[in-house]
Amino acid sequence: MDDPYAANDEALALTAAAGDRGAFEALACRYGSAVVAVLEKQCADHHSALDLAQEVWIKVFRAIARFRPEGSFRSWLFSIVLNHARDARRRTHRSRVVFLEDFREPTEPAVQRDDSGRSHEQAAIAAALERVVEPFKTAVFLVDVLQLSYDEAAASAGCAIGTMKSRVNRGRLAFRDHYTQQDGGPLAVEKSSGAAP
Amino acid sequence: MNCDSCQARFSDHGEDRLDGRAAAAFRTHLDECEDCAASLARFLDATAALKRLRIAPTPPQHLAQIMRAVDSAARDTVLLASGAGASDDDFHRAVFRTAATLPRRSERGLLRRVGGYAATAMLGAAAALLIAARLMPPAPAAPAAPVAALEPAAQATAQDHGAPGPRVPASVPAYVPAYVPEEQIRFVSTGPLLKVDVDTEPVARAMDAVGHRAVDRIGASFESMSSSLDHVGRSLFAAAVAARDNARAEAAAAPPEAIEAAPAAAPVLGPAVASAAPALAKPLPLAAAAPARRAPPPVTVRRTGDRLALATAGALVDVVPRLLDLLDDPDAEVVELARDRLEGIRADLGLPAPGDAAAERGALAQFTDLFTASERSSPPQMKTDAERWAAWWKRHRLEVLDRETHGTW
Repeated sequence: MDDPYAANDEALALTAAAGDRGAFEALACRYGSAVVAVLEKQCADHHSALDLAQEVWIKVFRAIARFRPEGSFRSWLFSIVLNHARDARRRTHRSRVVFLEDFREPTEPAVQRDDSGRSHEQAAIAAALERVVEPFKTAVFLVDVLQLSYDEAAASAGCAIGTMKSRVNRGRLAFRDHYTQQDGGPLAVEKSSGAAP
Repeated sequence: MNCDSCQARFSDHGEDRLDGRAAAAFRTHLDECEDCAASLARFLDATAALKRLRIAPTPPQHLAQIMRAVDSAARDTVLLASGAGASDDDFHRAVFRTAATLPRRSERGLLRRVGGYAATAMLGAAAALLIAARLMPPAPAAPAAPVAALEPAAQATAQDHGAPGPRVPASVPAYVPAYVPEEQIRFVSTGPLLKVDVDTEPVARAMDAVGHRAVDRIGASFESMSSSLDHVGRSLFAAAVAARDNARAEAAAAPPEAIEAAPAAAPVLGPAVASAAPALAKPLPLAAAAPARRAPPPVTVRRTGDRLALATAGALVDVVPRLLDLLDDPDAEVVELARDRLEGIRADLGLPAPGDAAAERGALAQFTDLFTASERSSPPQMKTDAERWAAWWKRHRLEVLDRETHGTW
């Protein structure tokens, strides 16, 4: 393939399944950040998400020969991501070692944790989204942040399209409530500027 | 439309998926309900904020790590599949191309796991056998029964078998000592030594309880394992005692002069019958510790006083050759019995009588067909049987010709 970065996902996947390493690298480059972001939402730990992302891409590499171009590559990829995150949660839940040093309250609010240089508004949005419970958080993240269609998001999560639409709506409502009540949200800005009663 | 159903359609309204009556009802409710209108405004703002959220870019080295991990997986796949390494300038590309076209490794992983389990089971069995062999005490000596104490019928049966002398019935002693002293394998639980009284922190108490449960489970596992080893050892010891008693019974069997010392029990048979006796007589009933049974001999000839009896058992392919052998016996009574039995078999099979030329030709054709069929599809045994039957038939024809020529049978 001449320019793998210009091809669509399905063509890249088929080329990678035929043994083209460059096509696979283009896919990893295109969706590497998204995979890490989804895993970060699932396990709430950036470093664990990076490790899990490597395992996910190895899984994708081993299974890419079974990818069918009739479906969407994004839904296929994120179904692997979500399944792997679910398996990782189960493994962690089974073999979790809890140290007594970990029994302490976090000293810094999650909203102010800004490891990757995001702006204050971005951090506020991310913090409000963090407070949305599952499975609504994943639904909102897939549809609103990653811009997946409802079909792709439903296929990734393994549910019906109507279920996914309902989850997205409820997730948006919950996000609205968290976003307008936290310190960095627009409601707080209105209160500090005197616009709110 | 109420407020709940209105809020459930916020996303549909924001994405222009409401149409017709649903859109009209939605707008009507918004005009009437200020709360829902304000809520919708905040909802749209929040949704717009969500769409502004940008995922954080991963570190540049993350992609390199991913590709290194994928290359490593591909290399493992190729090396596992080919059993050898490769040295190429474009190593990663070649390995990736090869690994991407290989089948999944799940089957190989399954085989490796099954092989691992089998190897573990074999090692465990070998260890149990080794322990049993090392700890098994010497077996007590069983007294050998004198030959004179045997019943005459038992002696006769033994000689029918062709054994050099009567056997001593082996028996498992009622008391089988345990080969593993229980004190050596009992697990001593160390749980109480680890117990610490912590009553300040609930987490510490919970962890303490979990630790004690784990220790108890380990102790129970060791006790179960020792019980299993004990059972295995007892079984092995019982088998060893039975085998030893059988060996002693054979070694302590009477010498040849013991048979001569009891001539009244020996049947008066011809040399052919005597030579075939080891295979013809019924087996001696073995001890309870030796469960293996011998198949009964196909032909048994016994003389009780003046009465001579011929018994057959098994398939005809085994019986008929023995009967043919008995036709050469110098004892006329044995030959007569064997001939009568062969004639009975011939009549049962519908074969023609010797001398009936027309029926004989049909029978020979039948034998020819049988022989041909056995050559095609039947096991080799059929060929041997057909040859035996043909020899028997040929012998009968010669005897009939001889009788008709010389007037003797």
